[in-house]
Formats: sequence, C-alpha cells, structure tokens
Amino acid sequence: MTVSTAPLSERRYAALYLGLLALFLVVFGAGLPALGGLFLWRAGEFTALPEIVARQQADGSIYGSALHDDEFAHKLALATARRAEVLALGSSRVLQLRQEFFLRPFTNAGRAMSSLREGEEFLAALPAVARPRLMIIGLDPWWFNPQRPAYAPRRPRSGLSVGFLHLVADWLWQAKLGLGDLWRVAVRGRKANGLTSHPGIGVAAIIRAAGYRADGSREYGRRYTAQDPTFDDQGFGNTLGRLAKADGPFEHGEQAAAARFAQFDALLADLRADGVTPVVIMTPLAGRVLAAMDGMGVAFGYLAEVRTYLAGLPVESYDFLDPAALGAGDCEFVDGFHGGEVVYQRVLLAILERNPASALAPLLDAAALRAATAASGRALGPRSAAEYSATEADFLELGCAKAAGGS
Amino acid sequence: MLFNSPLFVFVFLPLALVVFFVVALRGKNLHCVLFLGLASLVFYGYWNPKYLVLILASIGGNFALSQGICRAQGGRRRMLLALGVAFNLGLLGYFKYALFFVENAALLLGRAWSIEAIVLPLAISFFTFQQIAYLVDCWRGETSPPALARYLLFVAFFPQLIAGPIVHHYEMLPQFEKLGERPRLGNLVAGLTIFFAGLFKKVILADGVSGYADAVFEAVAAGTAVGALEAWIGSFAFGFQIYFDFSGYSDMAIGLALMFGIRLPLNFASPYKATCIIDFWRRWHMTLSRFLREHLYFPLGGNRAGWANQMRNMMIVMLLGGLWHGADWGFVLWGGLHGVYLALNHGWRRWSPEGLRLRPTLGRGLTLIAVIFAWVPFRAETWPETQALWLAMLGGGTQAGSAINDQGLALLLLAALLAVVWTLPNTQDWSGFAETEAKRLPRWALWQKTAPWAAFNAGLALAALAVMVGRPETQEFLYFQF
Repeated sequence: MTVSTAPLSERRYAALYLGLLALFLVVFGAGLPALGGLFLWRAGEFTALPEIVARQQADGSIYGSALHDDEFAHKLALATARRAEVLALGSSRVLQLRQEFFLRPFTNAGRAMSSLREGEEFLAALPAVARPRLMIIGLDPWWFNPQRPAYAPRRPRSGLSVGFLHLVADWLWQAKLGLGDLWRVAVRGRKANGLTSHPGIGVAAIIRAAGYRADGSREYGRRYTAQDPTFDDQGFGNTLGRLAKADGPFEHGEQAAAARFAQFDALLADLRADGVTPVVIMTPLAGRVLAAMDGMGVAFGYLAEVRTYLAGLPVESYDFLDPAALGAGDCEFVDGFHGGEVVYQRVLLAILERNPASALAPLLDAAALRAATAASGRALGPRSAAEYSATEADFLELGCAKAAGGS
Repeated sequence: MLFNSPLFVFVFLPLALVVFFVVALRGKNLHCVLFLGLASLVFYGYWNPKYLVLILASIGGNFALSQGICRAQGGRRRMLLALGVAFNLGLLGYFKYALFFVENAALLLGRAWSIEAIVLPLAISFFTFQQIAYLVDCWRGETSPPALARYLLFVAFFPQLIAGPIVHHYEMLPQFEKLGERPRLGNLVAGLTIFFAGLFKKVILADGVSGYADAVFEAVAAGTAVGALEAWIGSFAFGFQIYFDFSGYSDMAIGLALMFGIRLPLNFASPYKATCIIDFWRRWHMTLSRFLREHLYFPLGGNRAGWANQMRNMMIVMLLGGLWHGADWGFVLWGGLHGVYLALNHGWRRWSPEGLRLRPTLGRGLTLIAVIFAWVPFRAETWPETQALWLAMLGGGTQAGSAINDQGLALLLLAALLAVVWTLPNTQDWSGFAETEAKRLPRWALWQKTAPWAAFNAGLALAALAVMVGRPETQEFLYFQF
C-alpha cells in the first residue's frame, strides 16, 4: 500500500488532519484512561478493606496499594479480624516482625502508630475482643522530639478520581509500569506478582510484590532483587540526605519533650489496666546512619534522653537502636532506618538471651530464630528467601555478598 | 490558565473556538470582538479573579488617557502622556518592584524597613509596556482612538496576554476591525498545527530537559559542590529549557491567534542559530527588543552621539531590560552581561581588521557558549549560587560531582537538542507562517498539505497531548510571571 504525497485541497487536508486528530483523541483520550481505570479497579485498588482482609486470611494475599495511605484502617481491620494473642504496634519500623517467628497467633499493626497520638487512637478503636495478651510496642525516638509535629492527620481512603488516571499515565511515562503489566492486569485480570506465590491486591502488590502479608508484616518484594524502580536509598544516600536536611523523622532536636514522655507513660498504664502486657522495643537504625546522627552532636541531642527514659520504664523494655548490639550489619537492612527480617529475628533472639524470663519467652521459637540469624549479611530470612523465585541482590549497593550469604 | 493545561486545551479553547465561529458566521464584527474580549477576561480571571479589577482599571485608565491625549494640544498633551507613563510605571513599580526597592534601600541605608510581599499580577509587565507604547503613539499622532471593546481586546487578547509578543496597535487594531470576516478553515488548521508544535516543544523538550537543570542548580543552592562537566550540563540544560519553553510559548501564541484569524508578530526566530550577540538579540524576544529600542534606546539618543554614548545607552537598555524580567539582581546581572557582550561585539565590528572575521560556525558556537554562560544568574536564586556555578564551569569546582547520575545520557540528550536547534527549521519557516530562512531549506522539510504531513502533525499533537495529560502537574512557562 502506498500513501499519496500529492497535495490536497485545503478542505480535504483539514478534513484529514482534524479527522485523524479526533480519532487519536477518541482512542487515546478515552481508550487509555478507560484502560487505566480498569487496571486500578481490577488490581483491587477500590476493594473495600473488610473484603481485602477476608481475602488475605483466606488465600494469603499481599495487600499493597499504590493509591492509598490506609495502613491505620487496614491494620485495625486486620487486628480486629485476627484477634491475635500477640500484637506488634508501632511505625514502619516494626513491620518485619512476622507470624512465623512466634508460636502463638500474631498480628503486625506496624504503621498504625506513626506518632503517640495515633497509637492512642488505634488502641481506643481496637475492639475489646481483639485486645492481645501481649503487645510489642516499637518505640521511635523521634516521637519525643518536640520539633516534630505531635500528629499528622490521616487522609481518608479515596474513591476513583480523574487524578488516579493521571497516575497510571505517569507510571507508564516513568517506566514504573509496563504496557504488558497494564494489559495483564486490566484485561486478563492476573494478580500474580511473578516473584512470590502470594496473589496481590493493589498495584504495588501485583507489580512490585510489595505490601502487607496476611499477618500485617511488610513484604518488600522486588526491592530485595534490585528490581524496584521506586527504591532510592542505595548506599543509604536518601536517608543520609534526609538526615542532613533535617527532613521527616530526622528533624533535629536538642532536647526531648517531657510532656510526650508523660503521654507514653499514660498509654502504657492504660494497656496494663486493660490486662495487656506491654514490651517496648527501640528497633535499630543502620550502623552508618546512627554513626552519622551521633556525629551531628546536639542536632540529635534528644536521643540520649529517650534512651535514658526507655531504660527507666516500669515495663519490659529494650534499646536496640545500635545494630552493633545485635551483631547486625548494614547489609541486613532494607534501607537506612528499617532493618530486614533477619535484624528483627536478631532482636527477638537478643531478648531471649538477655532476659530468659521475658514475657515473650514462651511465645518464641528460640531454635528457629537461632537458625535463621545464622544467615547473616542478608535482609531476608531463610524461610522467606525460599519463597522467592529470585535470590536477594545487593540492592543497597553496599558491596554486600548476598549470594554467598556473608557480609 | 496555562496553554499547556488540560483545562485550556480540552475545555477553554474548544469552547472559545466553537462560539467564535458561530458568532463569526453570523457576520457581526463587534460581536466577535466582544466575545473574544470576554473570553480573554475569563482566561485572565481564572488565575485570580481579584486581579481582573487591576487589568480592567489599567485598560480603563489608559483608554481614558489615550482619548485625552488624542484630543489635547501642546503642553496638556505632553502632560497627559507623562501622567499615563507614570500611571503605568507606578502600577508596575508597586506590584513588581516595591519589595525589591525597599529591601535594597534598607540594606544600603542600614535601616530595618520591610513591607509585605506583593503578589505579582499575571502579565503586568506585558500589558504595561504595550499600553505605554500605545500612549506614546497617541501622543505622536500615529493612531486615532479605537472603540473601547477593540482597545480592551488589543490589551487583553488571550493568545498574547500572558507572555507576549508585545504588540503594537498598528499590528492588531486593523485586524480586529476585520475580526470574524470570512472565518477560514485553513487558519484553524494552520493555527492548530503551530499550536501543537509549540505544545510539543514545551511539554516534551523544555520540560523533558528541565530535570538536569534543576538537579544542578538545586545541588548548588544546597551547597553541594558540582564538577565542571556537571555545571556545563546544568547550564546547557537550562539554556535549552528556556529556549524550548519560550519558543513553544511563542508558537502556541501565534497558533492560537491564527485560529481566530489574527496574525501576531514573530517573537522568536532560532536565536541559538545567531552568529553573534547582535544577531542573537534580533532573534530572541524580538518584540521586547523592539519596544526597548523604540521607547528607551532611541529616546536616550541611540547611536547618534558617538561611540561612548551609544555604549552607555546600550548598557542602560540592557540593565533595564534585565530588570524588566524580574525584581532580582540576577536578572540585572544577566542584562548587564549581555550589555558587555553587545559592547564587545560592536567593538569587534568597529575595530577588528577587515580580514579578521569569524566563520559563521565558529561565531555561532561562541555566541551559544556566551549566552549559556549568561543564563546562570538568570536561573540561579542567589549570587553565591551564580558564583559557585560559574567557578565550576571555569574548572574551579570539584573533579566529579554527584548532582547528575547519568551524565552520559544527559550529554546525549543535550547533543540531540543542539542538533535540533542548529539544523531544523523553526516553526514559522516550516509552517509557512513567515519566511525568515525558508528559502534555504529543502522542500521536503517544509509542511505541505499532503496526507503524510496530516498524519505526522496529528501524531505530533497526540504525543504532546499524551505527555501533557500524563504529567501530574502542569509546568509553568518560564516567562509566565515576568
């Protein structure tokens, strides 16, 4: 077939040009957005939380939304549905505590307590029947920095909007989403993530195998295999940059806020009054991040006060801020301020070794933890690693010998 | 409302075109003028409705003054002109320069003076200059007052209101008298084609390269040392960003006006093809250069009173031209640097030996490097930032910086953009809107009304629209608030 290059009359040229423009606009202006909407819908981004939680308990799906910051509501629904004996509550820095580490039913409500007030709200909203016997509270030192806002309001879970269709186009543009994935999910309705056997609910869970497991713990998915285009903390560059810029949790503060200590005391007292045994843990930062904070002197002056306060708490409490105390290296972290699975196994093991009378002791399988932590130098524990179809890579670009299993 | 926003492209423009063509087909010129005037005010008011009062006051005040100037004689005529110029410069001075002057005066005199920051009304620099030029022409007796509706449209015509071109009454008012007569499909198609070429330049080329400029300038602003290569990459990236931004805007303005049957003057003619700085200023922001030449350089004496006075006048024009771009010493420095370049260029022409003329290719390269070097204070937020970047460009920075991870890719992109600006025809030549260099171009490179060109142009439009819609935020034009 040949295309004529003969000049056209003004009217015919206009008809052809405007016709093509209209055709393109119909196809791409209506077709692609419709495909984007279908993609989000079939990925499960608009599925109601009770249904998500029910599916997770039924088939072990991972829930990872790319649209919603709905952890508080999700974890509340999960904790209510599971009614576990042990509950972990805290920020994202408790998310690597998993059911498989415990001998009794466990739920991880990490990210439901990003501040003291949010923790209070979570406990107030948790039905009495879902109240655990033991609660691990992951304490973040910056909760007590008066320079940090006491509370960040949560955004409501959103419905379908035109803005979300922009997002799909943006993901395609940034190569975070391929046309093949768009087609696979939107048209064929596939939910497999290609890395683990868990089906996904939500775009992040399906495309990046990242989200929350049925027990509420965090799955980092393709980050472990260095295939996550959204990951930006190679060499802890992002965390150290935030540290220098006093950004987010790394807001500088010379002194801790006494009022916030009192607020936390009251929270613990309420828990004990309700018959819940609290165990407070300050989880580790990566070694070079903690060293950088220490090197900044009074900029993080409040840290020492928080550590003293933690040591004096009238409940079981542990300070693991320094990963060296656990024998954990930087290669076992998932980023600058989140340890990997192995780090959290080390935390539990250290509790058992330091305090055999710990309330946690009868709930933990010490032999399994000991075996898991033998695989030092990796973020993923051996059981999770076995579920992955690809091996853990040096995603932090620290020169970690992941394949060999050494640091 | 921005030309590159979905609201403008998918709602405002189609509605404006449909209503305009319906009104035009009924054959009433005044209705067309009134409709386009109203649409222009809606366009302007969408940004901030309260500033409609300002632009209407400016239009009303200048219209009344122009009537007075045309009717008055002798000293009263001159006094009304002075009043008009003071009125316009007063508005501009208050909204654009008050904070700048107070801060600098306080600094100079060691006082603690301060005033609240004032929001810069959109397009004030453009409609102020345009109306000053109009009042001057009234005073010279070169125009008779039009009807108020046509005057309003002359000032507020939305295709050129926000960032120019700065038009003369003689270019626009005669066209407005025929507005809506025999609306042509050909104008609509040509206008759309030029508009989408401009949108492509803005959303794909300018916004596409801006990340490298932002990375380097922001790194320097944060106190991070950058390497020489990085500094040049950042500066060239900004040079291409502002080039395609302004070129794209100018195309869009011309295309939009053409859809309504109005031809705007050229404002941008491949300035990076300039073989010397004098040539650059004949191609960059042509209507601003024209305004400054006619209303500042010539009244100062131009080149009539000897070499030294010519250089002084030129430097005054360039410094004030820089200040027109914004109340910041960086713009003044940029203008001053171009003033020095122009002085050197004139000096070279005057005193260089007859046989010692630069080859055009060498001249083009040197001019581009000089222009890129001068963009640094234009983009930098502070003098230390300018200093640090200039130092790095001259080899005084770190050996290897970390602002840009993929320097190879950045260099490839910049080389491709350089090839585009040096080898491809500009939109006015390509589309046949104007013929500045078209005669030197092969026929195949020029737009013809054939089926392949229709498909190519529709594809170009689609690519630009797809990127525009895909972007989560609409990027402002760099000349948006000048």
